[in-house]
Amino acid sequence: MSERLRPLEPFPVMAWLVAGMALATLAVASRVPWWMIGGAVALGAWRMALARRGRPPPEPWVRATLSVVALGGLAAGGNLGLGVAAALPLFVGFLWIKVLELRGGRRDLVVTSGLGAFLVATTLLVDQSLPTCLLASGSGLALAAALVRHHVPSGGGRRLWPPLRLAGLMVLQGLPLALVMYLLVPRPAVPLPLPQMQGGSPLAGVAGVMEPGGASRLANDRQVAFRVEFPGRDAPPASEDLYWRTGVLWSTADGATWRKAVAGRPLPDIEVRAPATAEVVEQDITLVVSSIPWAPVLDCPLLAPAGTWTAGGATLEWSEPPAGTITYRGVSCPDARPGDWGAVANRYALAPPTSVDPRVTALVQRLSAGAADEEAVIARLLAWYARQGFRYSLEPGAMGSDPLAGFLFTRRKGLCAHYAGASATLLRLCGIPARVVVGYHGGELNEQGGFLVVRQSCAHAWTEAWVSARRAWERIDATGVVPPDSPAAAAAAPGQAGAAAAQAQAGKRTAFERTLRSLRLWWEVQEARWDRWAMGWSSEQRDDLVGWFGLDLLGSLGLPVLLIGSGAVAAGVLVWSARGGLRWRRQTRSERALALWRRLGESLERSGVEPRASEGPADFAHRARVALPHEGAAIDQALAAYLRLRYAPAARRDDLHTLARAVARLAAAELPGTDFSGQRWATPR
Amino acid sequence: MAASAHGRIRTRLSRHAVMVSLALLAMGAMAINHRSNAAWLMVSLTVSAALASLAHGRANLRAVAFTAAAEAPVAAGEPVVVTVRAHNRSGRDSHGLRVAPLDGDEGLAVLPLVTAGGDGEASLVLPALARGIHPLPALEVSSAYPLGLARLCRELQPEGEVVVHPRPGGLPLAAASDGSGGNRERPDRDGHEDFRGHRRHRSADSPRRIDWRASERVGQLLVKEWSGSDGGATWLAWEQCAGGVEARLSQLARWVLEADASGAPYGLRLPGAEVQPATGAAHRHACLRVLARHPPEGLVP
Repeated sequence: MSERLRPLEPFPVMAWLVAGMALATLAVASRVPWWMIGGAVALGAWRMALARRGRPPPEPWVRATLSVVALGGLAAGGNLGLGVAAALPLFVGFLWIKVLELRGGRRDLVVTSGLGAFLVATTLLVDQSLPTCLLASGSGLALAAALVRHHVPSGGGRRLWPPLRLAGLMVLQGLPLALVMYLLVPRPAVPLPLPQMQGGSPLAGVAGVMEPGGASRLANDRQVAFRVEFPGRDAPPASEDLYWRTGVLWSTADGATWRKAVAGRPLPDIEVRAPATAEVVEQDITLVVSSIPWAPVLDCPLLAPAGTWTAGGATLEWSEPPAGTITYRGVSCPDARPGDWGAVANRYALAPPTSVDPRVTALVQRLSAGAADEEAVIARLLAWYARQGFRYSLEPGAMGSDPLAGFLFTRRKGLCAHYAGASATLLRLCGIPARVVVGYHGGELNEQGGFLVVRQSCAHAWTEAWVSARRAWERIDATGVVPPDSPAAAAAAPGQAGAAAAQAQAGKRTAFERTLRSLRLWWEVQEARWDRWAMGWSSEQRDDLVGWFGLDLLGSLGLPVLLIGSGAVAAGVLVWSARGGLRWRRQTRSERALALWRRLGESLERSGVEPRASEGPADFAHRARVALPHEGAAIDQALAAYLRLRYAPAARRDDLHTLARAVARLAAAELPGTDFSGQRWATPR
Repeated sequence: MAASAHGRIRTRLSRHAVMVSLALLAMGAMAINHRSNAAWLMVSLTVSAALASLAHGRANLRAVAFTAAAEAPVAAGEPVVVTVRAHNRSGRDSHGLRVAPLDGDEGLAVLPLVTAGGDGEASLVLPALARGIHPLPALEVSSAYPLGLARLCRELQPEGEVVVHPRPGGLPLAAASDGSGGNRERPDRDGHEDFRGHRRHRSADSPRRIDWRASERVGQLLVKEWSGSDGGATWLAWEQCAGGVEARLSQLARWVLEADASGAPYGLRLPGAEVQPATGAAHRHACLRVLARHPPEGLVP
């Protein structure tokens, strides 16, 4: 055991600090390698065990070794790099090594808890869902509790909770001010000139690229992409209509990887063809994933919501990426097909890949030979997939050096992205204008909240081909005609297979599973509320608030007036509420008895028997009995209970209760000798 | 000696507060750039909780009233001990109160906990002072409770004084009595005096004069009295000492302390000041105070 250099932190400080770190790590757990979580648990337990025994932290070489191991592990796992996603694991690793070496003293503690808070803030940059926010606030409270506990040198008793209570109290007292700051302080819409970290997870089509390999990662991502309410409808549209249009990809080099880029494109010729009787579906979409250039909307959109414009391919693009979570109203018609760019489709949607495998050329000839029109070719293509034994698979494996030929002739199984890319390429080679659409398909209905949850795992891609007879882009979803290769793939598959799998699953639920499910649905409703109403706050809503207060008449002064006014009110509430403070110790019975006895003195003073400093409780009670003869019993009871509580070695169990009741009775009783003016009457004897 | 309880409270941000502010600025900028409402909410909550912590710190400091006093005279060159007493008038506990002189780095007393309605006491050891009577230095009460982001400070101007008497030096009292020193108006009290009787103990009496046997019999403390006890006091006089002003004062200080320790009554006579013979701590303090107050060389007393 090495010599102590500085005083070691007492156990409760360490306990709160480790708890804060653990919650912060839990919030970020999905973005950190699993072995790091295990390491964090081990280091935390080790440090706590040392603190419990009052032992100093391990020698420096232990920490140095651990740092090297962590760095090596991250490097081996390919987790080193720039950006938030890469910084988080590194941050977590060093934070726990720092906790291990924490010795004591204010500086160490402040630095460590500050780093913990920074980790929490960094996590919130990439994830602001309800669970993450709850974990983050728990972590912040625990770290604050560690600081509070450190600044109570007497120890404040051995109990663990008072520091947390004070930390929570301070947050509550600051809440009005925090709300003013959150709701009213204007935040610049343009990024500040700071080094930007790339955040977020790679989403389908976000960067305008569809790589079939990337889509297989998304298949297991349960993160919510957006939620949809259907105003004016009891149920969402049928599953086969739930195609959420996000982006359209126009160019490919190898037939498998598709990109958005189109050089020198014309202004979109917005044109949507719909049958006269087609039904219009309105949707309130709350987009949870941020930094996405497109606004997902049900296929095919008829109107562009505020803040978006209709880009080529009948997709909605943000004029300016939304701040945080945003809710917008989409208006679509499932039966309508986009007709935009139809006049120039040949120029942009026929570019073939740069090199084509001879087997692909042969296939294209077979598909197009003697076909009457585009629809005949499409039908032959889908039939070919079915006949050749293609499968829908979540893990199709590597496709080889020529991904298109590898998929079509070797592997013959793949994700939606494989089918969408391959179909569009084949149709282009057949001379039919085709493009890839990325988006989402389906969604899970939450009956309790009446909304549809669309997760990242619902990410989907399909093909659109120009059918000149109808002058519209027709949707081709090959994954709807190929059978899945596993139950997991069946559940994830769009179209009939997926719906049937979900149905079968629903039928098999036990009562316990149904309860669990309803709990999960309830939680999802809370998450949806949080995302839509707490995280969806925007500058437009802030301006609405200014108008609601009638301050819009002041023009640009309205917001500052509201800000300063409510800030002053909130600061007043803070100062007023913080005066009381907090008891660290629970009052002893004796102290409570004293407080009750004092209250008794106050109420008796009102009826003319004021307590004197020179007399003991018995003398005072005697005078009170003389002055208030018919309250004698209550006074006797109070005195007896008080004396036992204060001076007897063991008070009776109900003494405090007796005393409180007698005091309340004497305070409430209409005492003789008192009139309304407080003048004393002559007491009848 | 009561100090005002309602000093103005100053807020001194700690270095950690500066660090935390910078971190919050960085977090706020990141929240804006990443358009993260959650991160902005967290920054808002942290800022306002930090402000609330300042309000708690103020209440923590306001809850306690202080008095300070230097209770015994100290010798020049010895550290000054100031006793700081705290009384918590409120219903909340006060934590981590630190008392230090307002200027100067030396001296620090900590009251870890003053419970609601309770009292606390701490000794503040200050650097040595020169001979004389000094006002109590201005003190500063501060605490970093509850988060350590700021040290809230309240100035404390205690009323009262520090008596710094001359450093005792020169010859011992016994030597002086034999030779040129202490001038006794009666011969040495070496057992040949006439016992005159008992009287009740007064708080100023030295414990040596208590007749324990008689006290036990009567049930109250009795003190032996000898005939001519009041007239037989030792006079410690300026003229008996040799040397300059400071040397004489040092000598007298030594004699006062020794005479006090012996328990016999003694008086002090200086040019321009005289203390009638008596015994006890109050008498000793009075004598030492006279020595402390004596003007230095070159000034007419």
